[in-house]
Amino acid sequence: MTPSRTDFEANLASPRSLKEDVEQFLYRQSEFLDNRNWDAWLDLFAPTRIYWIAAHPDDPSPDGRPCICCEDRYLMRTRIKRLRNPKAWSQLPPHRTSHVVSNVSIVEAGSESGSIVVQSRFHMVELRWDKQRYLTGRYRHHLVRADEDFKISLQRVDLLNYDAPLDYVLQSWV
Amino acid sequence: MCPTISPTRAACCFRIVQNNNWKIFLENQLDAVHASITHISAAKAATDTEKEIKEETGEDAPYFYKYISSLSTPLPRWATLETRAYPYGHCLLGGYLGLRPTDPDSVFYENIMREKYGAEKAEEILSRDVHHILIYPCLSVQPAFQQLRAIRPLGPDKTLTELWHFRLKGAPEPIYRRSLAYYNLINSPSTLVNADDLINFWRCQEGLMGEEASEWVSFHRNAGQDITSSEMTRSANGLSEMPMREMFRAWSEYMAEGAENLG
Repeated sequence: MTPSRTDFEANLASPRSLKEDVEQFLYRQSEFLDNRNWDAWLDLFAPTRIYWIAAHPDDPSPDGRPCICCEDRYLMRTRIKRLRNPKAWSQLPPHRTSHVVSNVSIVEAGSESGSIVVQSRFHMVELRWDKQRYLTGRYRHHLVRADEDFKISLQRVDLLNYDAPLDYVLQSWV
Repeated sequence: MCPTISPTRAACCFRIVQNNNWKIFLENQLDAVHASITHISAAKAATDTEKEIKEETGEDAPYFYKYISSLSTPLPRWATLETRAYPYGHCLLGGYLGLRPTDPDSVFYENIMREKYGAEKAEEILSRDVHHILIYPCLSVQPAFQQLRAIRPLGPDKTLTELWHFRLKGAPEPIYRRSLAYYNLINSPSTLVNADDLINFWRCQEGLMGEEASEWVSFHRNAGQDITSSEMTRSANGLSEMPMREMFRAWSEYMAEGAENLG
């Protein structure tokens, strides 16, 4: 899954505006997540979409496999409804996150259908009660063009600690 | 139980650390009272989504939503469940999800079982409706979904759970997909259900460790009403704290044996 030298050269040669547009899109996504702007965050995804945190970096797809998280639009909405319920006891007080997204590269500049594959790295700090924890890893976004913007058809997340014990669970998306 | 007898372990283990004593987790596994209270946010969300899917697509929501929405089952229904305790603290909670579906995959699977075991034995296996079995004090098994949780104390206030799921050898792929759906939705690190359990376990732990905490934890619900035979103890109803009392009885015996051996 690591981009080849050719991929990076293609990236350097890719139109600057595309890379900048994609970067802005990714920054916007992480802002929505950190601000708990769930509706705006959901709206970044295409109607048919999958948000996937892989259980192993070699897994080629979530289908038929254990997944740390694998959600379509209905499961994503279910997660949001739970977070908004005042009886979500673990959300008293709500957890907070702060993301930094970087090392953005265009892996596939796009087919005729407008599909673009983007790889990036993220760092996320989560505060729950008085305790902070730190998650990091790699994003791979499959984007489709929609009007003047993008929509996510697939977001793959590979956590650095995918196989390590996790203290507590993941309540929203990484 | 599977057509070729031995289940195979699917190669994945999720590990989650709880910041509480291991006993709190085991008590929770047999506690039918907490489900509709602790998990109300997840259950309500899943129930609402089931309705949305029906409205938007005209089709029933995928079966796995029931794993979460059924947690809002009202207390009187939980009270009808059976809990049993066996010697040494082993115990079980009866099933509540109605796990004898009649869809084509299930019927196909049941036919395979009958061919393998004969009608009578297959029926005995398939009609066993158990939600949790505790192999005290270290394993929690969910046979209907081929799930296993190993409980490993790391300290008095820290516990590691290792979560596994299994594929039934010879069973059709859709049967594995149910096990997988349960694993991904309920037992994975992104579980919608466990977040509220873990925070409550931690609060129990903090409360017990406080300077003004009582030395005693009350497990008196339906005390004196247990139905005891030489083989097992049955609870008066599904809400009884009989399993917790039996677990502590076993633990105090183990501790006493340990003290004698030291002495």
